[in-house]
Amino acid sequence: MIKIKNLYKKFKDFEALKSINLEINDNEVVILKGVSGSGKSTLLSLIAGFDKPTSGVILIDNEPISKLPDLHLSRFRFKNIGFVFQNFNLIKNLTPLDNILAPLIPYEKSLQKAQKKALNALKVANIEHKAKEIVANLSGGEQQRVAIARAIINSPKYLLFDEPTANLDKNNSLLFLDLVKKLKNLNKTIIIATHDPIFDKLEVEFKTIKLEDGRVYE
Amino acid sequence: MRNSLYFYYLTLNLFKDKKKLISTILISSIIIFLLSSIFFIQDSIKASLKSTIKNQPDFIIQKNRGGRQVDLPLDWIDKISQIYGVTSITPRVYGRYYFEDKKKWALIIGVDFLEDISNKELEKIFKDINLKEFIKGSNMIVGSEVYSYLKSHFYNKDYNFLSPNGEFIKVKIYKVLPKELALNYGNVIITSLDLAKKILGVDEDKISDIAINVANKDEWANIEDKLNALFYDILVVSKDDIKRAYDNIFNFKGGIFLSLFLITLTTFMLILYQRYSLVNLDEKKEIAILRSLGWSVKDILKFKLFESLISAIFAFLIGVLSAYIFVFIFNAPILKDIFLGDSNLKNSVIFIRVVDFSTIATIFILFIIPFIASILIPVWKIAISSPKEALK
Repeated sequence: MIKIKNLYKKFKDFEALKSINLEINDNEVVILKGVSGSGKSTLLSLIAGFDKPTSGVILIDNEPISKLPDLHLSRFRFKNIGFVFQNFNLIKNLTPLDNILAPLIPYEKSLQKAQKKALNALKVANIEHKAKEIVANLSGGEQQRVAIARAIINSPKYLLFDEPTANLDKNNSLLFLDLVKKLKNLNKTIIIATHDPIFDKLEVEFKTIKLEDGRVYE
Repeated sequence: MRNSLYFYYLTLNLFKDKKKLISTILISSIIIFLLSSIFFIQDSIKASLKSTIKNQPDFIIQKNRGGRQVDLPLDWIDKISQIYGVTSITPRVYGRYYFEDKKKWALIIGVDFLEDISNKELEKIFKDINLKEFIKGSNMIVGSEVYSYLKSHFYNKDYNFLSPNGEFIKVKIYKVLPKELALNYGNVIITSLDLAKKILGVDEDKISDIAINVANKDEWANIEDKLNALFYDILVVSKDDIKRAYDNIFNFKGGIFLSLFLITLTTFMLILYQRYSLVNLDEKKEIAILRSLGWSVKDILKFKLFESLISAIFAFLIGVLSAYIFVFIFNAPILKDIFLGDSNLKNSVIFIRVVDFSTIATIFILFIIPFIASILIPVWKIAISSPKEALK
């Protein structure tokens, strides 16, 4: 469960988030909606522990992640959080398989075990047939599926998506909705920051949280 | 190792950008090569000079008149032999002989083969020659530079020396000294004492100087006092004086060494600075991606440390090995002339193979610390910043 209490985030003089209070339950799908600059990406980054809030607390399974030292935070992130960036952030000159192995390097010793895990993740994301191609040669939709496979390789409980359909065509966006359904069935808690109306067609139960000018309107 | 995920990813990352890997190794190898070559040459010259000093006699006695060295009477030997504590006395005849073109010269050394030879290096040279046969004929042992000069003037087997009284003396080349001895004996001609006297025009009852050895080092000052008391017009040159003279020469060479070393090191630092300030965008992005995937700052630094260590060690080995081949097999063309300067005869010095492990360790430290630092400092800077910011 994610609990957010009195969260503020300021960038110099700009207040990106103002007094955010939220609770996200396990196995819930949450759509963070809002226009560009409303603060949804900032909120997602704070939940993932990429950045520290100016004030307030984020508790993930009762762990105050914004207060964890780097080493603990990294371990916590590896175990519990999968993040898919808007532009996927893959290492372009490696294969999907090698990209997916990256999170495991500090934690897994055996190459064989790691590759087995990676192939499983690729299967879940429906991209195992492209495992050994160079990422730079894949389409946007395929790259997104590789990024999803990388996010789920360690079976994290929480999956965060930042504008997942922004770089996809309609077909691929619909395929992504199917994938969300599949992931929800795997008992994941999913948070998606988006302003794309296509998520209204999502065939799973979800909660919408509206962000405007750094504030929440549920 | 083959089944290690860490090792797999490390090699994958290294070879991912082959251009970058090759250029890093190439630039680093060149720097290491230059540094190692300078160190190898310095160590080799140092070792040669050290062995020369070691083989010098304890004292050289010269006669001075009006501040100029003149030949001294042979009977001084008997007087010196009366001094208690002197273990060996060697009369020496030597002098410069100018060849026909008057610009090139060789140092003729006359040796009394019947006496004890005070110079241990010469003793080694004479070990494998038939002394009886050598003294009987008109023979000479020539340094490699002298031999090259004679050969270039078509004197392959012998040479006609012109004595000061206008007489030609034909002397056979009996042996050529190896190039390894060229630093000290390259321009030397060794003959019997009598033959040297004839060529240089030294009177029969005269010699150039006397070399003596004193076994007990504690007696050196005492012996020097006794020699000065015995002859009023002598100059006693001790082994320490010779050592000082060599040190002065080497300090000069050391200055050249230092300049070259500083130039190389500065170039290296500039390259590193450039690397430090221009960490490429892909690298920045990659570090941020790894951070977002659960790598801690420590994990990133450890991985980059291994990665840079592999390329640094590889570059180091290539650099040191090629410097070894360049200096000790190809005899350091160009660099040799910088160190040894212009020579009277054509320089044929061969650097003796001296590899001091403390030197290699020094090069390793001088290279590896700035190299690793230039990689880890920018990596650390990126790693501690927010992955989201670095990915923008």
